[in-house]
Amino acid sequence: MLPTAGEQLDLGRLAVERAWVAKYLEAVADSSPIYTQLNSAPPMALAAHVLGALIEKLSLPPGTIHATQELKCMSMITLDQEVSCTATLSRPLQRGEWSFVAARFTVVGQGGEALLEGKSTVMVPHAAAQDG
Amino acid sequence: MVEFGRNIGFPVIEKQISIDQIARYAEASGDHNPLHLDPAFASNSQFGGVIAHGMLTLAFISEMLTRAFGTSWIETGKLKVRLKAPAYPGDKVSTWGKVTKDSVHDGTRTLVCSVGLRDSNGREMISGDATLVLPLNATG
Repeated sequence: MLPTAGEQLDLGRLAVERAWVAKYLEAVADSSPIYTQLNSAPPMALAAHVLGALIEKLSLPPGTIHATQELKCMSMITLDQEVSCTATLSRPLQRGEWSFVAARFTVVGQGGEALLEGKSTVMVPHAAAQDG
Repeated sequence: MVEFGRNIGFPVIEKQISIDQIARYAEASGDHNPLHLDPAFASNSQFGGVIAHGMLTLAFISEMLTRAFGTSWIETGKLKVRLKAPAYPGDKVSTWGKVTKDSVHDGTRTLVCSVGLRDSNGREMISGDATLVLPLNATG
């Protein structure tokens, strides 16, 4: 069953550590030296984590497809901090056999500063959402 | 002041998608959707086989922007894209980007760029816009 519109979801906390960033950069084959030089994490790594956490939190059915992505980088994401992730869901839109589910998310640093905002829209197979 | 088409060089990021990379990305991101990992499940989907995560392919565009603009991208960047077509294992993909608006206002220089990702057949997989703020003395 799809979530309630406007519902705020706690997507938990994430320790932004060097090993986690290295694993992400290796997975996307990104050898940019800037993250090592600045002791920072790619914004996209956190966005990827948020989307993964959202899919798990919502128990979105197999076959869910990522349709659109927005991202707003607000500050450098330094290593060795614990960040908090939250998301708010919009009302799902029905289009044929699919439901479009959009979530606005925010990642906040341990000092309370906003690091990253964004919006992910996924297409959920309608039959699976009704079954699920 | 608004200027269009400034000759800012965007590095082209070229990658070849592999099953191993998709599996590594699933582990790193926590996204274990069987569309990306289970050939039996994916073969019965509209895609006919496993596809790469959209966020994996979007990371290539972010890499291009990071290499082009450095900290300006990771501190001020905004991105809005549509994921239009999936990438399959074996696909060779490359990024593209161009400046569509270059403006200075109140001591701040802002660039708006069209960005995207396409495969070796020219099929557009991702397209959208990126916006970022540059130091006024940045060359372009």
